[in-house]
Amino acid sequence: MTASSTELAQQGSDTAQPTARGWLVLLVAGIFEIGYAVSVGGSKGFTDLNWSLSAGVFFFLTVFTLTVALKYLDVGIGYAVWTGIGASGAAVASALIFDQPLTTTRVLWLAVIIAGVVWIKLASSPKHAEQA
Amino acid sequence: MQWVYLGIATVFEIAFALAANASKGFTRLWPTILTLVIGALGTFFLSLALRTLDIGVGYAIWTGLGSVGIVLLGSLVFKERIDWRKALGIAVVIVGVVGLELSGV
Repeated sequence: MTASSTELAQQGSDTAQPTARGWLVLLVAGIFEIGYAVSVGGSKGFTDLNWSLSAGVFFFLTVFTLTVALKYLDVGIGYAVWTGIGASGAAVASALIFDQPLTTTRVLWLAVIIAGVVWIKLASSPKHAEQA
Repeated sequence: MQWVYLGIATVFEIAFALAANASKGFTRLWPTILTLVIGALGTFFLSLALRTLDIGVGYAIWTGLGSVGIVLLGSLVFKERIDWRKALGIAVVIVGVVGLELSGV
């Protein structure tokens, strides 16, 4: 850990600037969110034990890492990237793992929804609120 | 029935965001516990919805409508202004959800 990131960690979210460390943790949080989505689906209403346990573990991991990442990053931008990774990754991973169809039409409409969510999160950034 | 489950899961998702915010980064005990309980309930109803909906579809609609709900609730309860950016995002999400449904996938 560099001196500057140590200082940022001590200063907390109020003065934190985007850092490579924050982005790295956010990327990991996004991957955990994909694991969460796939596991929740795989649990079949929490009737499958292994997928249910996996869902619980990923839930804690994604919440924890997202919380850490948002100490370093702008909250709106952080949420936008995290949810973008989670939603697009969930569609791809469920197609690979459970053979759920990923047709062109479906990819198109999913992309529209995900773009809208990312846009909302960006628009909810405190920076944008100040400009408005 | 999956749409009812997804609707309930979306309400919990919105409540989850509010509770997580109140927990101040999970540094306050009771809001943190409340956040985790709400998260568990939301997860349960999402899993019921995903018994019939494909994961990619159900998850995107859940997170999409959750994001829209958070903005609308922020406006109603906390008097946060819905500027053109947020309004555009809400419109795009709704177009996407309706389009996905109408395309029958």
